[in-house]
Amino acid sequence: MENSAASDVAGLFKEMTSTILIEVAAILISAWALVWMSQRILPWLANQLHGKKRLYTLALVPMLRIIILVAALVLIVPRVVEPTIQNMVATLGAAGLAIGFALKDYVSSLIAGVVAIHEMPYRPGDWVLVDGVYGEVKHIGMRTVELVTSDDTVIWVPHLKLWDNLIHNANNGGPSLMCVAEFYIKPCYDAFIIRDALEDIGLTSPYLQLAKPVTVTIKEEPWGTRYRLKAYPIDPRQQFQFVTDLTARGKQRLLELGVEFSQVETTKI
Amino acid sequence: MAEQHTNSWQWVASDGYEIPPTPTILALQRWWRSISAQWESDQEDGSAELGQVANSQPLQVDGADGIAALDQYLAEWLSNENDGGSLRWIISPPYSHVKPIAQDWLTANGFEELKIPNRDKLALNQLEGDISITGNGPWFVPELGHAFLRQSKGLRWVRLFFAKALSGELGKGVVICDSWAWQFLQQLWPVSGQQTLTLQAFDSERLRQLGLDRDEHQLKHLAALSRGNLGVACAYSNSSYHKRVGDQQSPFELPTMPVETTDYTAFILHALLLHCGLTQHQLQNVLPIVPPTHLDIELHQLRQCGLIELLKSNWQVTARGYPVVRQALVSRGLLADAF
Repeated sequence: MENSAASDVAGLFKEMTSTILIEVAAILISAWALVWMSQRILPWLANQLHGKKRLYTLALVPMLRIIILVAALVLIVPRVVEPTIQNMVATLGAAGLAIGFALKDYVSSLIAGVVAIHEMPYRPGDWVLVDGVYGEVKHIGMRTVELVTSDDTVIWVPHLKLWDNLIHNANNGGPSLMCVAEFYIKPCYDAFIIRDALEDIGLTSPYLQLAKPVTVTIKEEPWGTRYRLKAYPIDPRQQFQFVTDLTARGKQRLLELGVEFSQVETTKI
Repeated sequence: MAEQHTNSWQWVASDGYEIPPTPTILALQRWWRSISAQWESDQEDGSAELGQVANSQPLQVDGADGIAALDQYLAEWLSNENDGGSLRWIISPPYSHVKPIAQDWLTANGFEELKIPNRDKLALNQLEGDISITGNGPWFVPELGHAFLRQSKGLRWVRLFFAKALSGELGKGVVICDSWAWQFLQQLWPVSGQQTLTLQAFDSERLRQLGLDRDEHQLKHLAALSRGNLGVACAYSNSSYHKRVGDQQSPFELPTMPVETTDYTAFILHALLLHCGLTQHQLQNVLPIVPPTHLDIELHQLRQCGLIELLKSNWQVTARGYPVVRQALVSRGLLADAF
């Protein structure tokens, strides 16, 4: 009986000759080399570019890797397994069992990684907020996505988060990312004069993407008036410097106009 | 011969400007230049490769034909006395010879110059009175690009001017405006393209008609490199700026951007183009985000690269540096002119 089962399992696979082993090794090495090269050359090339060209080039990296890996798998499987229906069902069944018990989370992340490449909730170059972490997507791996925060901290987020977390994508694959600079003013001043002054602050920032609108919204709060100056930087990577420029020059201009800033209790914001 | 000259100076509506086609080899060179700039830290001095082209003479541009062509283009508008409030906007790409030609024509036709406030007073929020003209005749603004600062208080006068001029209150007039300043001012106050005019691009044929003695390959290169801008073409046609004789692939040596090109570098160059040149003090006012020490370093590096020069206390982009600067700014997504 045991001999029969062993021969059934052995029958799933082809006889391992040295030729097959060399071919499989060659395919694996070639696939690894191609992935390695694509993960270095394309990001380097992307960093020479700006705007849309940069983002599109970065988005090619995970796409190319999945294509290379699927191609390698398609080439390897028929060399190792006898491609009959019975054999494929048995192989996939055994693999499913192992995944279900031992590698559930790992494989879930891998599958979420494939879904992420298809649905593109985040792409390299995007600015995303996942699970309280805000940063630029630097690399999309098989299992994790690599974020770099504004403080230059690298954070690896498992693709698994995709299933049950909200993904906030600030620029969604494009070069347009809205930035907001907030000003809190005492409520006794002419709101339109302040609005016009803040719009000019936006319009005169060197970081401004001029094709996009500059807007100011006003909201009355219990502690004063909240002005939100909204505009788009030329490149999403400039967002923090852009907000710095808007805030610093905005404050200077408002002080010149003689307005007083509100003291806001943080718990009331 | 006279007919040829007339053809080479052609005034067109600004959206009718046709940029000469770029030869493939030049497009490839530009692409390679942008890619390779990162690792070429030890740039060779471009001037070391320069040589003299035998019998080459600097191109002397005579604007008389341009004035005659402008006279012809605006004759009907000028003679029409029923459109008292109509305007014409002459858009002048940097170094294109449009501005001096237009100013000469306007002065010759008795247009009164409308005084614009001093730039330093624009920044201090002290405007010199109202916008008005003394006579009843037509008026002109010699350079609208000098009438604003891209600074929180620097747009008031130009807004006031647009409101008055476009309402017809000032009467018939002509406004000359640098093409980069115009592109920015269009964000403040869009103006119909029908009222704007400029000189048609100088393609290889027009350059030949002007008397530029080069083979067809070099003329096409020159026209593409300058995007039809006559002043830039003249700067590159000077003999000292040629590469070795017989170098057919790259007949003109371009200055290069600094190896460490940052946002600050781009902002400085962009500000200089938008304002048709600025003093260092004005530059600091326009770009307070750039620390003063960085500004000094950037200006020094850009000057060493031959991209900017200091003329009468004003920093401005050089004619030879203009194509390189324009390409660098466009690749970074900054607003560029349409020419």
